[in-house]
Amino acid sequence: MNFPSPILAADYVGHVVGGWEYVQGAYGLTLVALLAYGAYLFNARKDRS
Amino acid sequence: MRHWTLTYSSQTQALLWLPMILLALVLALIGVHVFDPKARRWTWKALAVIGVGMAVGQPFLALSWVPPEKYMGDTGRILYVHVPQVWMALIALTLNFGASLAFLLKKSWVSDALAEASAEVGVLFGAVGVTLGALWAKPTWGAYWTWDARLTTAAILLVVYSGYLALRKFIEDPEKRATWSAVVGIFAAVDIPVLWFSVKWWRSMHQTQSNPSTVDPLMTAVLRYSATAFLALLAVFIYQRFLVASAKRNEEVALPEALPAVGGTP
Amino acid sequence: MSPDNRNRLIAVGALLVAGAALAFIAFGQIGDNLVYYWSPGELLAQGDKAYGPTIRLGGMVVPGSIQWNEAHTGLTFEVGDDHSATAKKVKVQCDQVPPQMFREKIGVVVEGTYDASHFFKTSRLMVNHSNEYKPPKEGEDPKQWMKSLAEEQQAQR
Repeated sequence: MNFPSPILAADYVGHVVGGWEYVQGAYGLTLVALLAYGAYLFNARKDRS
Repeated sequence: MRHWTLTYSSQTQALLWLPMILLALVLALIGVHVFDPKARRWTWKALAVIGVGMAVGQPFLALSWVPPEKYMGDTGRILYVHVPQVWMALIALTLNFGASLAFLLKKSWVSDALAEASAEVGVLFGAVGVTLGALWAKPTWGAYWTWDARLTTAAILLVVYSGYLALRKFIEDPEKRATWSAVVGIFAAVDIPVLWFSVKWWRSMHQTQSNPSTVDPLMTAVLRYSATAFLALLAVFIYQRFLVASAKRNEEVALPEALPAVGGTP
Repeated sequence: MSPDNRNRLIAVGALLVAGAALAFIAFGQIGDNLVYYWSPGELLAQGDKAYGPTIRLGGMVVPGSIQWNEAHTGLTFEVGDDHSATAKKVKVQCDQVPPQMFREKIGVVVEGTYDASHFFKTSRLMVNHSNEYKPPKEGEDPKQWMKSLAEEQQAQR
């Protein structure tokens, strides 16, 4: 594919932020946050009932 | 290597309506929950089952089934969590505004407990959404953070509502707490429309709102699916947090006027 | 006054204050003081008053203007008001490797200083993403064309 700038390639080879593992990390973070809050609510409900 | 295609089979096209049907189902359940107190024993459980079920399928759809974005590649998949999380935060905090106003118009511990629950859950979703936005910004924009209108109003939103929650913890008298936090809830809500329109009113780094004409139909479907999953979870979270707040309020209000002397055990 | 009526009065007062604040933000032209970046036209219109302070410049990367010196991580390109040939342009000198999204005709915001050399010097280059999300075309794979570019560049050396 004819891409106008070689800089993109340089950056890709150089230092990559982003990409597959990075995205999985972001999803993992969301999951942890929601699970943690769910667990906190579960405990709080148990204490109050 | 997987090949992506812009022409969908008729089966896939039919599937694109599924998120809207699920959304209608979730909205109907929330409606029943709100208007029929007797149904609340099971509506939240149904919402929890749908929310957890859809959330389990969400990573499959968002990370595998839907094509990557043309320029951002896999990084573009953060869209399916960042955007719905912020939407849910805005819904929860708008609910906080409604509950705050309702409390001032007609004193009720129900609206006070709802205000407490929606603010806390709103801050949770908002914090996750903003964090994901920063993670997304680094590889695409080249910076985790910049003080443009959208990011600044988002930061203000989190700070103000964290302050609101701190205020609630700080005031011990339930009635004063409810009244003053309701006033703060109304003031804080100013930031909600400002955040929404910030990208239209001012030049910003953040792009303006997308709509189905700027987003591929497959991606739109996955975004709607994700939003529906998070909406169901949002409803369950707010309701459960509301029950906790209500129970606490009942304890507080039932307390005798004169508290036992220091050292007395409850 | 009964507590209920007092609360209602507070509600009306709070709504009025909140509504006024919102109206002021929306229609009060505070946007004039909240400029996130200047366009090249606005920067040039300032003349030598723009020399010195750290500012942000935003616009489109002019096609054909990108020059990249890999050995010195030196990047120069032009930022224009828009895509038209008559658009006002400012030359930018960047000493950082740009983000992956950087390319011709894309929106960028650079933070730095402008001076009499008529180069905008920056070490913070940010790329604007539009509100469009599309999959790659038939057979394309984003990772694949990034890789092929890398190989292309290796071959050129």
